[in-house]
Amino acid sequence: MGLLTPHPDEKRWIARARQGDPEAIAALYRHYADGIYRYLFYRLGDAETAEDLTADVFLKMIEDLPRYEERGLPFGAWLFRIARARLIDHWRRQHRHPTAALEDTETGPYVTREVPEDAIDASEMIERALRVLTPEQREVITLRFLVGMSLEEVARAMGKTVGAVKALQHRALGTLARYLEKAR
Amino acid sequence: MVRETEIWEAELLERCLRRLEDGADLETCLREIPEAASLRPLLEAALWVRRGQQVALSPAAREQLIRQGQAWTAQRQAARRAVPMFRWALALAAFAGLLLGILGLAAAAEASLPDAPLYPLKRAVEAALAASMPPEERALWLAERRWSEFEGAAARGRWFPAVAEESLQHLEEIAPRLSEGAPAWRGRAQALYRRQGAFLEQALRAAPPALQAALAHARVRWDGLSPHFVPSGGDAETGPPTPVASPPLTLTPEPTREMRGSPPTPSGGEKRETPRPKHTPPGQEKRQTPRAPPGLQDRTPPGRESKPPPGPKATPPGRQK
Repeated sequence: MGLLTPHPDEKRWIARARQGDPEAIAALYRHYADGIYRYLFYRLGDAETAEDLTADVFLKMIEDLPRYEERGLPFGAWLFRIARARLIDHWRRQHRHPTAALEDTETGPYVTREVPEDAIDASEMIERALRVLTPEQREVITLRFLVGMSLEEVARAMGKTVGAVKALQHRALGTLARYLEKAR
Repeated sequence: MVRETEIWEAELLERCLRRLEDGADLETCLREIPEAASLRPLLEAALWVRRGQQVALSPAAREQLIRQGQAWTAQRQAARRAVPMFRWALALAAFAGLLLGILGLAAAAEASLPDAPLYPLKRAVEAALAASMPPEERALWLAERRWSEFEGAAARGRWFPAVAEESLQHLEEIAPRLSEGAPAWRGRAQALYRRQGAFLEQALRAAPPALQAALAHARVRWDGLSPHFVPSGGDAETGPPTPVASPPLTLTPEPTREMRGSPPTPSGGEKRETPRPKHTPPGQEKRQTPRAPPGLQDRTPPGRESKPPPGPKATPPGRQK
């Protein structure tokens, strides 16, 4: 299930969560937690930090819930915005990836880390492969194939045109295909 | 050309990806879209990346996250309940402080004289209070207040003839209806009239020469009220006004300003006795004017019903030879 796929009971959950209903809070968590965590894990490459930031995103969600109004912005997209903002804050704090991390620098791989292939599972292999991409290509691949957004949702989330996202996706998959060919 | 090929390939790739998302396998997709054959490695990479969707929080981690969120919510709910009470208390305290401030200011303004900074506030409060009074009561109340200000300021060596005139103007408003009023109200009006006469007498002696003309004008105006306040025959209930001994005008020297400038109190001026008001010569107080018949009396102002009886007419204070 994609991050932005709303549950049929979502509106009721939101209304009750605003009143502080613990069950409604739990329902929202269960529905969205994996998508948010997956996005953060593949963007950060660190399970522990991804888990911490996921907790942060949901606490921020509770805090901002009274101000959330559905005006053409689905709840999942709103939650994703929080996650993205938290990720940028984290990078700023770490001084590892400044705000330009989400801009298309097209400078190729920005991190290289040697990890013995037999010691890592599939998710870590994917995470490692994503490192050969530019930050924007990585964002597109994460959102499209790991979080499960449609092309249009990715474009909206990144503030780009559908055509630009299509081009980024094409180049990113080309780079990954070459990486996989080399890895074999 | 390269750019156009890239766009075309990107379009083709997206078509194939959508077919894969719809559930088709790679071979089916490539059979349906044969021109996408060159994109096979890219589609395989996409399918390989999609395996990463298996990544999820462990059930324990998810439950811990939920508990954390629920605890945070409960904490926020408690804080939210506490905040309105605090806000109410704060707002109440601020309101009480504001009210006290306003009342204090109004109280301070009440004692102010016409040249004081708080005097406009006094007039504003006064106007608000007077708005709910009947017209006659309002006019008398304002006349009394203005006269008190005039006296108070004069005692400090500050002269405000305009304030005296304002008091007289209010008295003029009620004078024609004096006989129609309640005895208590009428008594107050007459007392004020007597007080004004006595004080004007002293003021004319004590005020600086530059203000004499203005005070003399007030005196003339006061004289003009005598037909209403000094009926030739007197009133059955209250009788003709009797002089009120006004306290001697004692000037308290203060730094002079343009309108404050009062010459030093003449030697012995403080002890000067209030001139004996001579509205009615002694022995004339109880004299009764022949009353008009009741029907006619209603239409004629008191004291004007018939020809005044022979004898000395009431003379305002300070006008006797």
